[in-house]
Amino acid sequence: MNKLGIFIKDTFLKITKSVSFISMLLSPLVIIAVIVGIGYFAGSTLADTADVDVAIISEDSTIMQIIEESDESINVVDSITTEEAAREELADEAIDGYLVANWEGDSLEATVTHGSDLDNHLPLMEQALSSRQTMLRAQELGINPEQIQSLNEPVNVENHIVSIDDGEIVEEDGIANAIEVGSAYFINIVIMMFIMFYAATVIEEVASEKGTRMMEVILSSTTATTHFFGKIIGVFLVMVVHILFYVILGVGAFMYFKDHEFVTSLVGDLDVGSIIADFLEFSSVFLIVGVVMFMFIAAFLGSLITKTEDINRAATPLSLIVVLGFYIGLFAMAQPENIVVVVSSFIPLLTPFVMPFRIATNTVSNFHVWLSIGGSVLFTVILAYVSLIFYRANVLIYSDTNFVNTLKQSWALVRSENKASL
Amino acid sequence: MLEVRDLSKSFGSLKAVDDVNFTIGQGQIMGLIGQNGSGKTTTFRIILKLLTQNSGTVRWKGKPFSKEFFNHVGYLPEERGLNQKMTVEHQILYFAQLRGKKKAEIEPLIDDWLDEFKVIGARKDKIKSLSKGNQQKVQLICTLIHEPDLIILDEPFSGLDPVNAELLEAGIRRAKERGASIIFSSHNMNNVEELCDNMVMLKNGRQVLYGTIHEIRESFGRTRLFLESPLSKAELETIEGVKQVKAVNDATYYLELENAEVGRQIFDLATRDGYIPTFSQQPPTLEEIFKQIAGENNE
Repeated sequence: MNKLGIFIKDTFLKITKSVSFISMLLSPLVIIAVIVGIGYFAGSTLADTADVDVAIISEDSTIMQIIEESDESINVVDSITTEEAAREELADEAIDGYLVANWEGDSLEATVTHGSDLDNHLPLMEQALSSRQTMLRAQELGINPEQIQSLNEPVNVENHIVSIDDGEIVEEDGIANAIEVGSAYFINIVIMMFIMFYAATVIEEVASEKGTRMMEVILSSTTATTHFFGKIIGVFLVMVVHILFYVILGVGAFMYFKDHEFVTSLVGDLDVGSIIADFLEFSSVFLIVGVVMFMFIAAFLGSLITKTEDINRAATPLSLIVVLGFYIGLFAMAQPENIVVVVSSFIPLLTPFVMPFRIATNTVSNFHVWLSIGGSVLFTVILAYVSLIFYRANVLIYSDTNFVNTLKQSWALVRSENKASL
Repeated sequence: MLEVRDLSKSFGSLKAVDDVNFTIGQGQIMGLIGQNGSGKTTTFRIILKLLTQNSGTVRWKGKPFSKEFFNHVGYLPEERGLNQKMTVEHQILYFAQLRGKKKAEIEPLIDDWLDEFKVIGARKDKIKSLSKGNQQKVQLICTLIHEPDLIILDEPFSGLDPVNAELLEAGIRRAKERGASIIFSSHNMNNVEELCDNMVMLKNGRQVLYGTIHEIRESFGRTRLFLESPLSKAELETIEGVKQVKAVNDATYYLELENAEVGRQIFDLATRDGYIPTFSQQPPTLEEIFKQIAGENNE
């Protein structure tokens, strides 16, 4: 195996076996499981599917039938026919409650007696009794069932969500818009988490070899360029595996659940495939460009440290940029045309955080999106080049002062090396 | 064979290495001595291509030293360190693979090497669970296990107790026997005298001494004399050409002479009445030479 391969393999295996990676990989699944669990539990409590035993005392036998049909979880105990018997059974807790319903002229008078176990069932009971009353009255008035149906037909209300843009009302497609906005938030959080995690991983990888002075030995066995790219490619491959894991799991879960009632009710007749394709079009580009860009900075920062204990200090400037980008991104959602947002969407280090929101809010042309991607890629290439120049010198400099001083010494070394190799 | 010719390196206005020349043959050991900041580490780093020289050449087996020879190098830097989270085995294999060895070639050797250097700890142990001395020995194994032809050791003896220093010496001698060219720096002149064929001394980046230990010592003249004779300290001090007289014990004196010729005169005086137990005239020790040169003002 060549030496680049050794660095890639070693880095890849070391990270994928680490506790921090495994917990990062599984944490979204745990969060989803908890959310689904809570949702399921809350849903089941609300629906209160627990069956109840109810006695129905009425001269009108159809009432018993319609109540039973209206609510599957109601068990009508037809052996009880008198109110006294029902009271006794309730007192013995043999039933959960009883309904007494009798006609007073053309009005149906009903009383429900229960130990509040039937609270969740009352609306359906009420509805069933009302429709029974309506039917009887309609019959008296000589109205046929079709006419009743037409009388009961609900009004169709169309829901139009619009936004007001410079005094103009602009139509918006509710669901598509929600998906775009949701995706932008999602991608912003994912980009931030990926950048933070993978940049920290690169810093750790480089700094642990610089801080323990292994670097000098390593660079006497290979070139700085090989080491630099070996580490970065190794970490990058971990990220690819990380993303693939979610993609495979997501597709698998979708395939498995796609005919499930809950999913079909949620997705409706939306074309999920095309939404995901739209979503991945730019977001994935921003994610990858963003992470790679920050990895180069991370390798550079990692090579500046003197002791392994300084790793957190090295990560600070990087975290500041990430947090700044994240907040400008959130701000961009509210005010996508603000000058700060527009400008920062073209600043390479901030582009991955801000541009997805401008795309989501349709405030940027495709040309500008590609321009910002092109700018970021170019910046990444320059960053890689500059980082590499410093990397070679940084490795030999151990300074107990601050990073600025280390950088100055490193720059002096770069210059003297350049002079020497002329 | 390593040939270093006219090597110079500046950092800004500072001349860190100034016109250094030496050759190390196959199976030879060279000591590089000098005070802190005299340019030893910079010289090593230039040889290893970690730094670029302003002028001069480094040739290995007749060719300019380049990355194609990296697999033949064993390097122990002055500042030690291993990845604390790795196991001993992983660490050794990692470095050996970076020197072009296959895992399968090195794996069977690890136990023998751990035995040879008497490392207390198993190959599956994490580096951090080892004592500092044992970590240092693991690092030596990492430097030597791939059987390099060119071995560069920067202060290898620092921090080692006498028992471990002996193990290191034995390791260096084994590499010499296989025909490796070895260069090491040291502050301990005993190590240099015992191990080295050749020696270079640097002062402010300049090469002030170069040659075999014997040649260098002899070049300073036999100006040291151990004497056990009827002559008293006072009598010895009056002899012209005697710079200093120190009592080693009740009967033996150690004399510093202005030149070797004075020794003959003292011999005649001391043996006036026949037999004496000790008359040993020697050149200055390496340590004395080191101190003398280091103490001289820059011309």
